[in-house]
Amino acid sequence: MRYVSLKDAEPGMSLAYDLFDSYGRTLISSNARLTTAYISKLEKLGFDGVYIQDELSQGIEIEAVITPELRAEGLASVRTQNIDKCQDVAKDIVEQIASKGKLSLDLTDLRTFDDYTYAHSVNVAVYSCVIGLGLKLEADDLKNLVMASLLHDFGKMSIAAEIINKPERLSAEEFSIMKSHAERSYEMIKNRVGISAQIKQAVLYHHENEDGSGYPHGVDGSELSLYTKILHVADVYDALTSKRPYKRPYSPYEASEYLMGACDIMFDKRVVEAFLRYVPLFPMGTTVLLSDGREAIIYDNTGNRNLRPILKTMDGRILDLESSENLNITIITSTDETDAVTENAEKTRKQMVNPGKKFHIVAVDDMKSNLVQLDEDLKHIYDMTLLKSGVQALLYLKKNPYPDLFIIDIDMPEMNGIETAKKIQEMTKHQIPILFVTALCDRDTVMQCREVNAAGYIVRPYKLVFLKSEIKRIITGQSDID
Amino acid sequence: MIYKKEVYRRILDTYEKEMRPLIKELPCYLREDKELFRVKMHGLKGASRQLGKQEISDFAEQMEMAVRDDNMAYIYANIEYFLQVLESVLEEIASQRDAIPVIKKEVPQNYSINELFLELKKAFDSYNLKQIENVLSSLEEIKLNEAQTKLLQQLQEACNELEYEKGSQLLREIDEAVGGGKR
Repeated sequence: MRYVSLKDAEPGMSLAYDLFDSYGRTLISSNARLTTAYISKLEKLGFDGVYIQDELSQGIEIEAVITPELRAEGLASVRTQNIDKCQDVAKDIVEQIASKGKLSLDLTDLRTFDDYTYAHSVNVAVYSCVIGLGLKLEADDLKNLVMASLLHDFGKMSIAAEIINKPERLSAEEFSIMKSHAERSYEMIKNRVGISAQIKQAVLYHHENEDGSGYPHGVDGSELSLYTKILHVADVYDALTSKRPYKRPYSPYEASEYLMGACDIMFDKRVVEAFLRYVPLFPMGTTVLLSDGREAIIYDNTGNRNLRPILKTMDGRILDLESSENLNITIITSTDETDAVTENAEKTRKQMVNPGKKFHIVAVDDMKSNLVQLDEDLKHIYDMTLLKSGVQALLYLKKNPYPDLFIIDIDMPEMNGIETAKKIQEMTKHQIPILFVTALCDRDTVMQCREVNAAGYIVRPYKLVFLKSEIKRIITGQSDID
Repeated sequence: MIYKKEVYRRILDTYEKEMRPLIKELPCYLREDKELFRVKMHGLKGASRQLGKQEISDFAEQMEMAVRDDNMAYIYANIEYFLQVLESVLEEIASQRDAIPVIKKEVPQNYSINELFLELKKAFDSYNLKQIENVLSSLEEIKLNEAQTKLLQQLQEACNELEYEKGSQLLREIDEAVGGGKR
């Protein structure tokens, strides 16, 4: 079987996997043939693609981590907020996953826009369980963890769909409502007997970060339980890889880069590492573009082949990227698409704010190598100005219009990044957000960044996906993970 | 991280040009200004790590930590070896860079030398590094007189060190010398 996006789907193609609606009812069964009417209906429902079986995909077998029936049951129990039913589903999810000899997260979850929150909760439950197994949690802990995952977004269901699915930037008030969902979820379960305190804490704190920059209470990693840390990673991974009205889905490769880039800032590194052992960077059955211009399907990505898989080209030939004659061929990852997404945000902003002008970022670092790297990473999307010191940054501000964002290194001679930030804030009356990109990652530095109300903090070597996502969040107010 | 070749070349070139002087400068900083020595080690650590040069990055981190702990014995025992490792990293970087062909920029046909210098002044005034690099590479392709060649070298230094203000100042002087209306 292989995955085809709906724009490439053709009448006559044979479905390899059942499709469900947001109530968990079967829409079209496997083995059914696609018709023009089906394709059009699926497009209207917001499906992105389907799994098909054909001659080209022979030999590609992808097993779901949980059965479609259990997934549908999970969807229904989350939708109806049936806590007792969620307990049963949690138990079944753990049993099904734990009984598998080999776990594969290759199968993309097929879902509509409408059922995002429900399908998301079930996916997060599956991912949490996989991480928990990787960290060798006991069966009872796994069950609690999966239960917390199923419950974590209950509070979102009391938030207006116009806010949840709003494609544009949320207003401050809307964002504050959105952020209240963790507390809302907690309120719904806090007095419930039979739900452990650990589950309740994980639900309340699933948006808290390791460095204390999360919400609702801004507690740091030392106060977060392992349940919470696992749920946080699973939640963000699924949010990143999902298609939303305001963003395209990240590929597993990009989402993995994001998770790694945010280790020790947002996530506990042990948890991320445990998860990434199971995440296929290029899932089986998906189509990829190669550096030589050909398209191919991922045929085998197991074990060491996660980075250099075996492929099947569109003419049916097998192509092993590990073999010496193919070492010059690479898989093109979709960072260009990431740029496109940010470019769309840029377009919206142009319309709203100042036509004909790009977002402008001023980067300040005493190492030119770091500045040039940032410039090359970001110049396609942003106007970049590169400055070598805090003093130069202040001089620049006196002579030029204010930029949209400062990216500042911390450890610089003469005037360090924290002092520079304070002076910039004084000069600009806190009008310009500041993102620190630095090789310093000790607790004192993090606290100093928080004291100057930094908009963000990224540790070098940064992952480009994470950096771009953070810049987008700060400048446009659109987060890829909320 | 995967870069297009010309982008990768620029990154390698910047690293090599920025770190090369450190081989001479670091022993001076160590004698005269330990805090600056530490900051440079810190910068070297971050820039090298971003480029995937883990060994020199880890070594720089050890040196940085040693300064923080005031363990100067460690620094003195290792500085020479550190500089050797840095030297070999720079040689490796230079050979990787030189293996990537330079894409020559076309010299704008309609511009006189003075007009190019004026363009350069605008670029320095507006802190536009990319434009500065472009005009400088165009000027490198043109036969210049002795004074212009010297000026070009000074401007290249200003560019390498991101001394925009110095670049503007140098060009202000030549601008005044040329006398504006003659262009």
